[in-house]
Amino acid sequence: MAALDPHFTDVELMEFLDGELDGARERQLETALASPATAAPLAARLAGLREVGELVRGHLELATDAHEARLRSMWSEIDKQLDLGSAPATSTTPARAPSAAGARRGLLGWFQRYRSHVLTGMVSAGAVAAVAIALRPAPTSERGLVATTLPAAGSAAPTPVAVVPVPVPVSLPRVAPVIESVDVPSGSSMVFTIEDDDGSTAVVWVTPDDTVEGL
Amino acid sequence: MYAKRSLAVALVATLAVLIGQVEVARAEPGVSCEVLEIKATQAATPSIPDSLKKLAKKLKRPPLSSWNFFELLSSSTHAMSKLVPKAVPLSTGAAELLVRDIDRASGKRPRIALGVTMNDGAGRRVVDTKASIDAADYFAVGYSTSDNSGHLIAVSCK
Repeated sequence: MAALDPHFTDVELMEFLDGELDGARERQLETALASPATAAPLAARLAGLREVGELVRGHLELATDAHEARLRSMWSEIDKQLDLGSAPATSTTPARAPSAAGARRGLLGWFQRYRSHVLTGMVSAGAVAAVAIALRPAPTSERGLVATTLPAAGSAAPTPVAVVPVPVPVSLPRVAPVIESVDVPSGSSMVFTIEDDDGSTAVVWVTPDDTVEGL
Repeated sequence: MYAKRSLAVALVATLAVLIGQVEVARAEPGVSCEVLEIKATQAATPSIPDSLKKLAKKLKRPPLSSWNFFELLSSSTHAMSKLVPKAVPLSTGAAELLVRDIDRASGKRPRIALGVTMNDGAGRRVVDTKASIDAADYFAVGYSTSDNSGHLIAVSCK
C-alpha cells in the first residue's frame, strides 16, 4: 500500500493508535498533527484507520459469538465423555448383578492391595501357633487316640464321636483298679481282679435272685 | 497407616489362634470310652472272636473262664464329658456311663473315676457300681442269666 503521507506509513499510524509507536516517531507525528498544514490529512487517515479497526474487531466479535454456541455444545460433549470415564456407568440398560469373574477379580485385587497386611497377619498367627505348640505339655503316650467308631447296638450306621486326646504314659507304673461301691437291687455280687501282663482288670459280677448260679 | 493396618491384622490373627487354643483346652477334660457288650456261654468248641482279641487273656482267666464261647454283641465308642451321663444302648438291656472325675496328676497314669449302671432285657436295674481305673484299662460289669450264660460289658476309657 502506498503511503498517502510520505512521512508516516499506515503501519506507523496504526501503531500510534495502539500506543505502540516508538518515542521519536510518536513525537514527530504529534508535531505533524499539531501543524495546520499536515493535521487535517493525518487526522483523516487516523480516523479512517480507527474506523477500519473497529470494523475488524466487530467482525471478529460477531464471528466469535456465532461460533460460541457450537463451542459450548462441543465442551458439553467433552464433559460427558469425561464423566463417563471417571464416574460409575449410568447406562440406560438395566443393571446386572456382578458376575463371579468380577467378584473374583475384586477379591484378587483386594489381596493384591493388602498383600503386605495379610502376610504380616499370617506371620504373626504362625508365630503365636508356634509358641503355643512349643509350650504345650509334651505327649507321654504311645497309644493312639480312638479313631474308629463301631455301630452301636440297634443302629445301622456308626455314630460320629469326637475324638478327645488323653495322654496315657505307658512308662508309668499301673495302679490297681478300685471298686468304690456296688449296688445290686436284687441279687448278690462279687468283685474280682484279673491280673495279666496288660495290667489289672476289675470285674463286678452279679447273680440276680431269679437266676440259676452261673459262676 | 500401613503400620496400623498391619497391627490390626496381626491382632485379629493372634486372637483367632488363641481362641483356637482355648477351645482345645476346653476339650481336654473329656475322655473317649469304649464299651464292648459280650455274651458268654459254654460250648463244645471254645471261641473268642478276633474282635475280642485284646480281651482274650482276661476271658481265659477265672472267673470268666467258666465260659468258653464268647460273642461280641455290640461295640460303641462315646465321647464323654465329666459328670455328663451317657446312655449306652445294648443288644440286650441298656447301660449308662458317668465319668465322675479325671485325675491327671503328673508322674501317674490318668485315673478315671467311673460310674456304670446296667439294666437287663426287661429294663430292671441289675447293678449300679462305681470304680476308679487307670486310663485304657478295662472295667467289666456283668450278670448271670437264667440260661446259665453271662452278659457283660467291658468299659475302657482313655
